[in-house]
Amino acid sequence: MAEPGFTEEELVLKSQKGDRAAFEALMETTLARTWSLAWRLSGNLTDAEDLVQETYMKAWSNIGKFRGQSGFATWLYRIQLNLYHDTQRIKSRRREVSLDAKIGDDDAPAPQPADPGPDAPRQLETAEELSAVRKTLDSLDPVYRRVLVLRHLEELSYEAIGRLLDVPVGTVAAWLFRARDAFRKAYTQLYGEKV
Amino acid sequence: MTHEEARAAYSRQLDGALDKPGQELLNTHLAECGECREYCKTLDWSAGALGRLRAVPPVPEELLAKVKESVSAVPAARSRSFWSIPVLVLASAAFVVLVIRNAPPERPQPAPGQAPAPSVAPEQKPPPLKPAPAPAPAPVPSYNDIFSIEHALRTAPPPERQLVFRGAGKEDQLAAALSNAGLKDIALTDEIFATLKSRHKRLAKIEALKTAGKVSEGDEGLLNASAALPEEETRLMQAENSGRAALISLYAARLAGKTGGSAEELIPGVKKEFAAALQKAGR
Repeated sequence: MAEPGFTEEELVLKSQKGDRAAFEALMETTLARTWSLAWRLSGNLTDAEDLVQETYMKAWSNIGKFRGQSGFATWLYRIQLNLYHDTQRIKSRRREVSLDAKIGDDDAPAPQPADPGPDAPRQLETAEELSAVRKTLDSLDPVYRRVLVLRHLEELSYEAIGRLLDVPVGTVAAWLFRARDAFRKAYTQLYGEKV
Repeated sequence: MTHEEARAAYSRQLDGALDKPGQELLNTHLAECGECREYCKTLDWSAGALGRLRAVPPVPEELLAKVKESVSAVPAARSRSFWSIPVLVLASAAFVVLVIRNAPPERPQPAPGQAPAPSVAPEQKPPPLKPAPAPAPAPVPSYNDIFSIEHALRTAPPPERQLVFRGAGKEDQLAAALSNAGLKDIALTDEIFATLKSRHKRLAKIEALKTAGKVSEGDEGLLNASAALPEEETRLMQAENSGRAALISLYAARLAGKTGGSAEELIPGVKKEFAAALQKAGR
């Protein structure tokens, strides 16, 4: 860590005064979490890296607006979710991607085992299944995708999701129900299997 | 319990967010409904399948360097002090409470046919020799009184209501509206008025969302989305909820000023009363 011995609040304060080294220290402590969410949201290396970079660029240019009402990591999380949401909205406006095209997409989300062992057939099946689940998730409305990732992958509570997305707990519950329903329907539609 | 309600309840149960009465209703429904039992299995499958995506590859080695390089291209953002904004917010909140505490008490209304009480005493009284007894505490308004501000505005005759919301003759017209609704001890701060006014502007759109079943009233005085909404409607719902949350906080602060309690502790009760007032008014 570039700035040992400082608390998060001190690093934020120094960053707000324009200290890049302090901000880099904050980056180092939060990168793993930011990467994890970026990967889970986007499911591929390129988009996840872009999302991480944009998140820190936006955080740096807006650090003066950070009020300290939540932890720095939570603030970052919110920036990341909003950036992801905006990007997805723009993408969906710019191009109409058919569901068939999505199935044939080669941007595989799940890392493949490098050296298949004796369980190769089962692992392959698992990788294919994971890819199918990922592509089904990617085909959903970004609102549903976000809430499913936050609940099932990040394992956040309704309250935490509500705070991050700025919606009441009741809305989180309703979105999750609709999202799960949309997920099962999309999977059946994409892969022709009744789940 | 309908099929739809049972399925939504099962979704909550998957997250451990279904209360005991809800669980009992759900179990009763599922015991009799094979279709819903099958459906719930598919929700189980969805939850399990999604959980398998949790694995995350390690952070790429070069990512930190890339991020540092990207950030170095962004100009440094100097700012106000870290604590300046919270301090300003607290100061504003304290100011609101002080204004509320110091609001002049309502004068008694004259009986019909009686001359109104003069606003200034007719003759100067000598200063009291003993300290004046502490004034009787102002009657504590009930939540319903406070929440009836909105009710009074909404139920006021249209010309009067329009005048109020255009800001013309605000106090007089509002006083008339409150009087028509038989309300007492209602004081309106500018902040509350501004929030009510912005809510009034979006009322028709919110009503349309509710009629279309896209949003519904939750039990904490906020709107819940029933499904994913387009961006514009999401923003509308968030603006409405933000206005409601502001009102709830302001009402709680006002009530705390009257009772000497803590606004934070009063908020849960205020939320419930707010939700009840909205449901009672059919909004």
